[in-house]
Amino acid sequence: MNRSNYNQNYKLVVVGGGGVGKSAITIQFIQKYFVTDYDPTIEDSYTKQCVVDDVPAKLDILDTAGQEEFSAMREQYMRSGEGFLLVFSVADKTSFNEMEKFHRQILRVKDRDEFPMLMVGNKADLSSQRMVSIQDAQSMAMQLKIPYIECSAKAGMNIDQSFHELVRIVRRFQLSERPPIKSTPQKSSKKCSIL
Amino acid sequence: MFTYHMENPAQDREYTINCKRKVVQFVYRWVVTIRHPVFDDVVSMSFLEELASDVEADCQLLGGKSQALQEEASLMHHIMSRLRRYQDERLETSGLKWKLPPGGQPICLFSAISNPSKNNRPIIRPNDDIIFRVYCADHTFCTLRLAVNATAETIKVGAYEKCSLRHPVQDLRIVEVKSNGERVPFRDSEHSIPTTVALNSCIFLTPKDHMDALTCVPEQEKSEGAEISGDFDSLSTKELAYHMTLFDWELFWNVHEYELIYLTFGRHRFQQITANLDIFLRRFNEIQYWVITEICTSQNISKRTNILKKMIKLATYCKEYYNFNAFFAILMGLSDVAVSRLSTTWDKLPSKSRKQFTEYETLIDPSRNHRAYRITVGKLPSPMIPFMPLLIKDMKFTHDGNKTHVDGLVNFEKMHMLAQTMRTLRYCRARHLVLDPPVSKNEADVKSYVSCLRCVNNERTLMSMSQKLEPRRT
Repeated sequence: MNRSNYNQNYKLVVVGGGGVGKSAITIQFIQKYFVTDYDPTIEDSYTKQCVVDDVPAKLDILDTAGQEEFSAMREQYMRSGEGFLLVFSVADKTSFNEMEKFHRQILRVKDRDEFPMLMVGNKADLSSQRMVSIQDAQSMAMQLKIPYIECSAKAGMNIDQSFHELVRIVRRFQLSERPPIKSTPQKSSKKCSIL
Repeated sequence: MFTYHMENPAQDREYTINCKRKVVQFVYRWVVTIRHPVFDDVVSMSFLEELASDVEADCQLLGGKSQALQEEASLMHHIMSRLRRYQDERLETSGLKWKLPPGGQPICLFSAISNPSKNNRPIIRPNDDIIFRVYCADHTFCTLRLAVNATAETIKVGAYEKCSLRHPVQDLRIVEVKSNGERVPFRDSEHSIPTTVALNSCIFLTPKDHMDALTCVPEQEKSEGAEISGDFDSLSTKELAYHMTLFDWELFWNVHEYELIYLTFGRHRFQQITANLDIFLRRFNEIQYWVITEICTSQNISKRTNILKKMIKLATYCKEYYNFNAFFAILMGLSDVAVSRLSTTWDKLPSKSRKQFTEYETLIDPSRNHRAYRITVGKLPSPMIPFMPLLIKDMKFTHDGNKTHVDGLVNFEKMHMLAQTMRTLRYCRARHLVLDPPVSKNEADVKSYVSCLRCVNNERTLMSMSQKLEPRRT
């Protein structure tokens, strides 16, 4: 496979209802190897470099946690996203039922019939409080035509795998989209505006 | 108090006085920093009273010999006079009544105290009354008047007494029905419901098992914007931006830094309200949806292009006034799919406006943790109205990403970080907002217009409006 096929920067967006543990997933992924405190106001607090299938990738993660009330703002975030994690909590049925809504919104914003997405069932360690069975989640994923993975931010389970898998999905999508229509319009016109 | 009176016979007098001095100076700093919540708290208030009288007594005791503690006594005096002034003010504005119109627009002052000397918007307090509607499944409603911090349970009982439902009260629930039909049930213990519901939401009382049958009331779906949209066209853009910024500033001014803490850690832990913050945050949605509504309700293409152009100009003025909250809301409204897909309208836009819009888009670009925005505002002087949703996010991630306690000790690093974000708020408001008023044509109209921006916030409705204007090309 030719390396130059890959755009090595990826803008990934994490969406999902309130209280599903989105922020915990992001923080866990970004911060894993750091012992210092996590300061979310600095530029690098949502970026991470990693190697997926022997190819380096630089991820810029846009997490909408804490901003669930700003429903229309989400669209702005979605516009810049190249891949999406759709997160729900397996201990919260309502958050699971929202998956379809997010899926639809992404396709609408992207004006496409399909787009790189991965459905993530968080809090999989809480087996006693589980409200959404693996079967139900899988059949929902099938219906939405996106893959499904379970993770636990708390137990540190499948966090890296989720993001890496999403990178693979984005890569496959971008390859299949060749000749690239891909490049987001914002990218070309990045000028520094100084007041 | 203990530290203040800590007298050790072994130490000399000088040392004791120094300790007392430090205590008073610390207390002074604390009161000046925190302000109202200190005065609202019974324990800290009685502490201040006690400390003040002790300092006074000490001062008299030592007074003859030296000037010791004189300065501290005047600090305490200063605190106490602030406290009295605050209490007088409280008394004067106690029991304010607020009204939540059925459309779910921001809360208007209903019947305030008549004090013409201050026309500032008052702060919403937990014990103020709020008047709002509670609907039943058949869309009949009753109007309640309860304290702002009333629990869902209190609302439930109040509404139950007024509405005639056959179900026993324990089977009932208070539910928020959003304008898109979504239903959000409240636990009985949750409080300050009316100020936390979303834009254009209604509060319903329903039997637990009938929740899924609730539907929106017609007011929520009707595009009330349509009848008023004519106004926007005729009002001066600069005047709109000016009054919008003054209005937003008042909302912003009334938010206490502590409300960020309450919101981030959970209001229930503090038994406090976040009404002032909630309303300011809701303003963001209001502006954003108003922008989309205005454009999607203009049938005529040239008029629509004109409104689009005017909105970009409005954003320009808001940016000049450092009203970044409104600036982001307008920009994000313009980049909503329902608006951005109207390619014929965008094509007709003058190239100057188009260029401006592209430039602004880079400023709101969320990449690399909103780098562009953070760099820009980092260099600006106060006063300004910051892009509030980002501060909320910073608080959330600081809270979620760092433990509050480490090995049984408070994690000061985390507290410093939280304080840093709260300090941003303080920095933005370090100076009062003073703007040169534009030449006014119809001030009263503009003022009332910006205080209540009518909007449709059902995304499906907006999308179908947009599709009617410019059908999808196949």
